[in-house]
Amino acid sequence: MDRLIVKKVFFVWNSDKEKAWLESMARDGYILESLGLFKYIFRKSEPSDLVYEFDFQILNKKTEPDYLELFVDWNFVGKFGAWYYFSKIREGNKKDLIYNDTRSKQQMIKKILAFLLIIGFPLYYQIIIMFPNMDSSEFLFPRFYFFFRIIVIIVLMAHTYALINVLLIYRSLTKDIKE
Amino acid sequence: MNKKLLALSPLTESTFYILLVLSNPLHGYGIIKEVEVITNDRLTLAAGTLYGVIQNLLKYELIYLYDEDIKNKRKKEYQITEKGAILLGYETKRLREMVRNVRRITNG
Repeated sequence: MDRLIVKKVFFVWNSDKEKAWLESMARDGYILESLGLFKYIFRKSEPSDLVYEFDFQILNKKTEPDYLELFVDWNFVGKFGAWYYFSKIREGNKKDLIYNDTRSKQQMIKKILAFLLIIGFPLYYQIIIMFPNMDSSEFLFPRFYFFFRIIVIIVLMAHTYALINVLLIYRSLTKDIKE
Repeated sequence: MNKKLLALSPLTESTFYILLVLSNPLHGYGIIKEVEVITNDRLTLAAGTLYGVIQNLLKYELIYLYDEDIKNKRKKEYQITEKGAILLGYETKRLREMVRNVRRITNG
């Protein structure tokens, strides 16, 4: 058995932990080969000192090659949704990064924020109908509505939590006086 | 120089150098290498930063797609536009002023 599949959940604001975990797996000889929904597929190999970086990019078939062409020094592991995973042998210097200034890092975080806000739209719409003036339909299906409201509240809380966390990352970058 | 163009100043160091080396047509990875050469390895453009800057420069028409190798579609070359050159000239003047002021105030 030379493959190892691990199910694990990380969120954007945990990406440092995710990197650290993938790097420790590499040191144990498990090299990330591809990914899926909360799923990491490793190939057993020689232990190596790798660095991992993730980038959030909304690309299409036409723009993706232009983008990947720039990552000559990196190994493109795979993508999951809009997340692109890269790895390379650690050099211990600035070449281990995929962003070299704060501005561009912030731009990436902004894209994630915009994405979160846009996918939140159906949810914001739910808030409006969640607190309707007692209309007749609600009296007809009270139980169903109750269940529905609970789901919406849970999803809404998760969404807000995500937004706040990403906003905090953005804010921490604005304190950086480095360009 | 029009206001819209002026609003883009000051450029980040990465953007400035990308604009500068694109005075000659280069493809993406060529930009990274060229900037390393002229800054004696001090500035290494990271791929994610470079991609974002290229997209922005294209959006503001400061660079244009110079040539696309048809056999190898992956290698697109970019070059500075007239607008880009005007901005680069303005930035250079601004940077000269900075150096002049440091000299004047610190006698350094």
